[in-house]
Amino acid sequence: MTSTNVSSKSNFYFKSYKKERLMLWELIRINSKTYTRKLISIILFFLLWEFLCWIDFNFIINFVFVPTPVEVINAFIQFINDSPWVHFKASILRVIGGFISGSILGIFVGLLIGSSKILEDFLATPLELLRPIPAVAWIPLAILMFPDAESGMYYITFVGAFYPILISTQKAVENSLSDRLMIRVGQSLGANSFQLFKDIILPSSLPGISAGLVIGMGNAWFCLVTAEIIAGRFGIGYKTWESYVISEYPPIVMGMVLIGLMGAFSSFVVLKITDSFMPWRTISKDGI
Amino acid sequence: MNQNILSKTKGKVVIDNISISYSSRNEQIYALKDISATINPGEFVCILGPSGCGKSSLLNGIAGFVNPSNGKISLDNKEINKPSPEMGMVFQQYSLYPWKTVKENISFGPSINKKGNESPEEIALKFLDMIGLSKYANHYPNELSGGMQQRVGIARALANYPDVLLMDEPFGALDSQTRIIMQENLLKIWREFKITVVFVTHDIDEAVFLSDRILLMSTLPGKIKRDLKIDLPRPRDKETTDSKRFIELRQICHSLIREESIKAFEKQNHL
Repeated sequence: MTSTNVSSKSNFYFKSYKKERLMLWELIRINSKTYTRKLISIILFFLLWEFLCWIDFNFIINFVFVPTPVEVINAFIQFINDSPWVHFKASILRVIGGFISGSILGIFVGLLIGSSKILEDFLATPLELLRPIPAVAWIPLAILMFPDAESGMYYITFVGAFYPILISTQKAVENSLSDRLMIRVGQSLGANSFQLFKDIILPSSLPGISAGLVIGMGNAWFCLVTAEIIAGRFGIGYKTWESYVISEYPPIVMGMVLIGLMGAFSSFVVLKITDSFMPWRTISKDGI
Repeated sequence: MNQNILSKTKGKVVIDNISISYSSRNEQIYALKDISATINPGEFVCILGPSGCGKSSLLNGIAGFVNPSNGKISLDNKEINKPSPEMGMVFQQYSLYPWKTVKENISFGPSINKKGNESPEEIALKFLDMIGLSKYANHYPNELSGGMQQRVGIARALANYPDVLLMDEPFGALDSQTRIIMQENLLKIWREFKITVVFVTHDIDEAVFLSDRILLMSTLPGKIKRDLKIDLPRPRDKETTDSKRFIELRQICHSLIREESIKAFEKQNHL
């Protein structure tokens, strides 16, 4: 994401020593530059892809069988004309379900492990042993353990979302706890452990938790194809897998692109929502 | 300002033969050894010494962040063994909470120690007015300059109506112009509140200008080398710093400190 920071409304009448006042037209100018750059990058990407297919590029990577962007668009049009909503709905529900349960549990357990040594000793090891297991490896157990295919699919997207959120939360809390000054300030003002946690540890951990949520959202999509292999009749991941099984190439790429788009979009939404909880931050990149 | 809460009889700090030691790499290092001092209610005392003499350790001991290995420190006859809102602390680094606005930073203390019948919000606004930053109530700390942040830090420490204000080189990071203005403002606040102030610094001019008494510290292990009374008339302003007595007192501190600095420098080389 870009940087042009327009932090608080208050900056309009307050001029700090490090920030010049940003006029509206300047904001538009700076933003339009980054939008143009982003648009150009996407066009270049598709042109390169089309070009590599067109020359039948075949050096280490083989583009001979890769469908061109135009074929993918055609597959997409066909998909849209053919009741796409059931697939979207099925996938979106699974991702949201997995993400929300993963966030709640990941943040909760992360806060506990991050702030208590005893709980860390009891919980961290088994969780850490389960963490490296890839989503695909969970398929058989998910089928055996859950009453129906649908809940197994929720479980696999949940696994994808849970771990990055858990680890980021834990590390963010530990990092906050290592800031002795912030804690001493709270103690000298008379805060008890609960108040220290609520007013100091938690807000200072928010940036880390936010990063975990953004990665977790991406991972939930990542695991969607895997989840929808379990069973299915519906879902973007299922559609992708099915096309592979019947050797129909353009819909595979279409499924990939759709998952990429929806994953990126939902991560962006998560980022914006979490950013709105942290209005105090001013981020400047490239010295802007 | 709220004279019933802030009476002159409270805020007596007694340091009774304390030592503070750290274990570092299996070695017991004494930051402070056998220190005794009494700081009277309403007194402005500076702890002056070269860096590494343990003056911050002493302040952290008084604040209750560090417990002495022997001896005890007490506030109004109550032993101090943990931080308490009776003592406000202003830190060397800018230590405002970046996620709280200026107003929320100041009202945080009052909101957790309900005391008196003012609301935390009212207290915050009153102190913002006192430090002249009412306009910035809803700004975040990173929108303020260093001097402004430190003023908010002082307001935040005072907002609990403490009996003692502890200050750990609070103006060390400021430029010299700002620092002088901050010192004058601090004296004004101190006069108004009649509060005990323990102020740590390595700046001789600062110590002489501000204090009633200077506790001059020696190094390794830290001890109080001299308890120097500063008999300059109050209120003090920039004329004070030109007076003959000011220059004399500065001279005395200077020669004592110089000895210690050289000693510390050489000892550190031999460690």
